[in-house]
Amino acid sequence: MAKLIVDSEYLKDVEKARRELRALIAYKNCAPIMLRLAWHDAGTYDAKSKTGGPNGSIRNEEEYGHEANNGLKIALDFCEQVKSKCLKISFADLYQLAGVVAVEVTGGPTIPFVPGRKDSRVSPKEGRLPDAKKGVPHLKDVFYRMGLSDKDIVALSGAHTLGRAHPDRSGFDGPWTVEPLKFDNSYFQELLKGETTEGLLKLPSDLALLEDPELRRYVELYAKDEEVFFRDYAESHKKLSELGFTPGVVVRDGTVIAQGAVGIAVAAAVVVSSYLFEARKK
Amino acid sequence: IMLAVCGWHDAGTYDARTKTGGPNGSIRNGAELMHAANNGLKIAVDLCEEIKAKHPEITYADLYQLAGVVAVEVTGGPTIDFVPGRKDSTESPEEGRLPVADKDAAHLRSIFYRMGLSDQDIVALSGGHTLGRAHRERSGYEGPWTSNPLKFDNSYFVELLEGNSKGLLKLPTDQALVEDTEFRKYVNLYAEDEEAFFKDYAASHKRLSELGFSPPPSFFRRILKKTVAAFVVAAAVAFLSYLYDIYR
Repeated sequence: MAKLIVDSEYLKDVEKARRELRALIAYKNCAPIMLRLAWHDAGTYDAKSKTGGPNGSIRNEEEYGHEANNGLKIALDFCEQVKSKCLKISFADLYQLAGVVAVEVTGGPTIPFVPGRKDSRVSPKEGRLPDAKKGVPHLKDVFYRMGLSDKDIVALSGAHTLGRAHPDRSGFDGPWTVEPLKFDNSYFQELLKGETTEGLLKLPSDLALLEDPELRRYVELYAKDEEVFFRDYAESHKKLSELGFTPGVVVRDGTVIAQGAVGIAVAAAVVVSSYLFEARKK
Repeated sequence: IMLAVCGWHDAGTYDARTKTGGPNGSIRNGAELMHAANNGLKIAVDLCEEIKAKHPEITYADLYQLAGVVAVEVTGGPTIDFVPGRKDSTESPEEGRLPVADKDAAHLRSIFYRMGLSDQDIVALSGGHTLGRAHRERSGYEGPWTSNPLKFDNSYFVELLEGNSKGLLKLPTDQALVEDTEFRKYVNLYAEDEEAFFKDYAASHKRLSELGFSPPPSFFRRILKKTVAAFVVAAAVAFLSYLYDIYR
């Protein structure tokens, strides 16, 4: 994927976008749909052909028209509001930043955000995102294709701690957890309960995590230990948000270069003077 | 927003001369919660109790200030540096230390100078009214100061300078900022330059949240100090041996 020049102006714009996103999400309570937008932009990645991924292509009408993206125009419009005040940041970066902020402001882990994704107008074909009605072989197909692992599948599924399904979008209905605006490990605790709590949702693809012993191991770990879940989730989320993206060198108006140069000069001076000192002693 | 006010009203009782009051968690005492200035704040104190139940080690004093810092950050405001270590106190100061909304610039100065704060702090911190609203049953006043009371930005100052067109709230103490020449300088600056407001606000908020509090040096700082001292001693020894060598 091509890279942007990330200079100090760009970084300032990113920080402004971060604050605008926080305010927007606080005001509209829209953390879940913003997280889903980030995920659906990134989750089209194919590691073999190096196509799709977090490149802002989801803003193309043909892509947000895909069935898997039902309802996401709302999130796209929210992001447009932010973009109108932050002119430099790419859409690709903005959508991923929205995902990161959504997790943070709902009490989830802080995920490091590296900017520099370039926008693309090329949308992948429909069908790359996982289908809620399917099971383990399908989940593994989709996520392995992205270059992700079993641990990533389970950790990322934990994001269902936020939000709900809507009959007019996916056909399913309801939240997975009792507090759908709080990011914690309750998704896994609910999943392990034999009797589904009244009013809560379990998709076929959620239940699939219990059927495979490899995947189930992680479900049990995360249900027991929220800190471990947060640690693994942050790692998997960052990976997902950077599929096909190699962060470039960040140029910060020459300060780093200047400091590096000074450091090298001082070290060289020390080496040279000690050499001269030794030579004179002889 | 309530959490931000809770932090402010716990800290704002500080008296720099007697070193009483300040951010020490005393606001949770029944007597202090009953002060007229604190009408409605029981809501915030109860919200914080939920969090304290899951995190018993943090002091109430730290929790209330952290809540204020988070409230600003999460609504799009600047990131304020938070240093923990405040001790809890059960002693509440007498009523009357917080500013009263229907007074003037002289009153504001007497209250904030007593805390050890400045004119710039008064104006910057008033910008906290970018968030929230007044409630008739609490303060007697009604309504928000800005069009988006859940977004932290400089619109409080912009609205102050624009007069009453939108029917937004302006307390007598808000008006005082525009009528006083010293205060007005800052109002003009912050209305024009949001970055300058954010920078000054963060500094003033931090100061307010640390009134009467001297952060103990962190573990890392103590180790760092010892390491630097050791390094200096080693360098001095090395230098002295060079000199000894040369002059032998």
